[in-house]
Amino acid sequence: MKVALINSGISNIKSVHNMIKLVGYESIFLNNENDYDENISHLIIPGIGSFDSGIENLKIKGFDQIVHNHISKEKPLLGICLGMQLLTEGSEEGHLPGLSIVSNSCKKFQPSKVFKVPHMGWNYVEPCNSSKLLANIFKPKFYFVHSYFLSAEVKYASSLCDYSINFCSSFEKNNTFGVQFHPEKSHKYGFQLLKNFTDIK
Amino acid sequence: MLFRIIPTLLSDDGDLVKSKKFKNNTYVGDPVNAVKIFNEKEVDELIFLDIQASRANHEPNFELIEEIASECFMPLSYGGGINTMQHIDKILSLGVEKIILNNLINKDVDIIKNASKIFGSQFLVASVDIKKDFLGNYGVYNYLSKSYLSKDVPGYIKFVSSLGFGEIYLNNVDKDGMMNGIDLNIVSAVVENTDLPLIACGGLRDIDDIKSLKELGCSGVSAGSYFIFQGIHRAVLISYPNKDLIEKLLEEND
Repeated sequence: MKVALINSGISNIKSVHNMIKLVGYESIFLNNENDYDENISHLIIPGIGSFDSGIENLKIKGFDQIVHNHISKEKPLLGICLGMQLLTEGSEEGHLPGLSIVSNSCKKFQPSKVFKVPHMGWNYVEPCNSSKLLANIFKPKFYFVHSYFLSAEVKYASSLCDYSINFCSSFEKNNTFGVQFHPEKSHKYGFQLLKNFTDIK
Repeated sequence: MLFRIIPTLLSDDGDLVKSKKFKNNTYVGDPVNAVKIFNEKEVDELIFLDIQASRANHEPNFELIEEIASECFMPLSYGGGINTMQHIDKILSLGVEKIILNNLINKDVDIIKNASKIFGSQFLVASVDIKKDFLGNYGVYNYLSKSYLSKDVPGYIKFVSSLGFGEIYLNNVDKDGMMNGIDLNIVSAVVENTDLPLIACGGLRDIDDIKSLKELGCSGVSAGSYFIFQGIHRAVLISYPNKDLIEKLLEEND
């Protein structure tokens, strides 16, 4: 059992580290591809910032190959917020292709007086397709900060959230997971989700 | 989307204090301990302000910020003494979600615009203090120089909204620490002049205030005394409303 966090520049890595510690594991930071080793069982891609800079940062440090390699061994991987979006085919926010682990790409919310953009704050999610990450969480709600979203039609969607439209708030494809919200900043809900993630073998 | 209820904590040289009308600070305890209690109460978010840093012209207390961030399993906003890009970068890396800027708005807007490009607007909160003048008209107040920055609150709000911020934190100096009700008229005037999410602070008295703010289109409310003091003798006792109950009451309003 070894949890590693990809450190690709600007990110909420410290907060994720703190919550993983509360769950019971001391996570390590990967500053470049050479920091990755075969003992790493659980890999997390935290992420904030814009799509293109996120992808560029991953590629410059060789993390794109690490991610593909980790997934090919069926080891658990979790993308958080931008980290989730980077696992898709791309985003209206940028021009670069994503890692394409799931098909579909991210679109921008249309702002209105009631539904301001970014979607920022707490919101409920509706689990679907017997989500592993959302197991044992009663009335799950999480903290969101994002302007781009993944369509609710994603094949591997494991929860949906409503913000002017229904969108995919998390997906689970085999042992690859993505969450649009911030479990590291979502109290007991995020604690249980990260516990569920680290429990996956 | 759920209405956010956000305690504001004030730090003065490492002490947790609470002010009245931005003056008369009362010592109320240890900041780290208070943050731990608010975390246990599962507050939506927390705002932590170092009210001494800019006054005394010293840097943010990074050690204290890191300690506080490590106790916050909810979003944390920090403000106080932030003057450079390095400050912003460093504070975000310590596990803080949002940076609150007040004096920098009138000192160096280029830093704000740059930070918005690099980090994203959602990490930057504009703090705007308002206060009535002797004629009873609101103006934008500078607590450092104790003078008015602008007598045109809607105009200032429009200006601030154009700088790359992701949120506005509006603080009513006259209402600070008074718990006698939020002045909804001025909040309404501010909401009408910005597309940014607005957090109103100053004077929170009860759930009716919260309902009214939600109706006006505010994204959240913040308060200090409301969460720190109990009873007419202002005994220090940290509390936070039951969120399920609040959500039920707010839904009834819809």
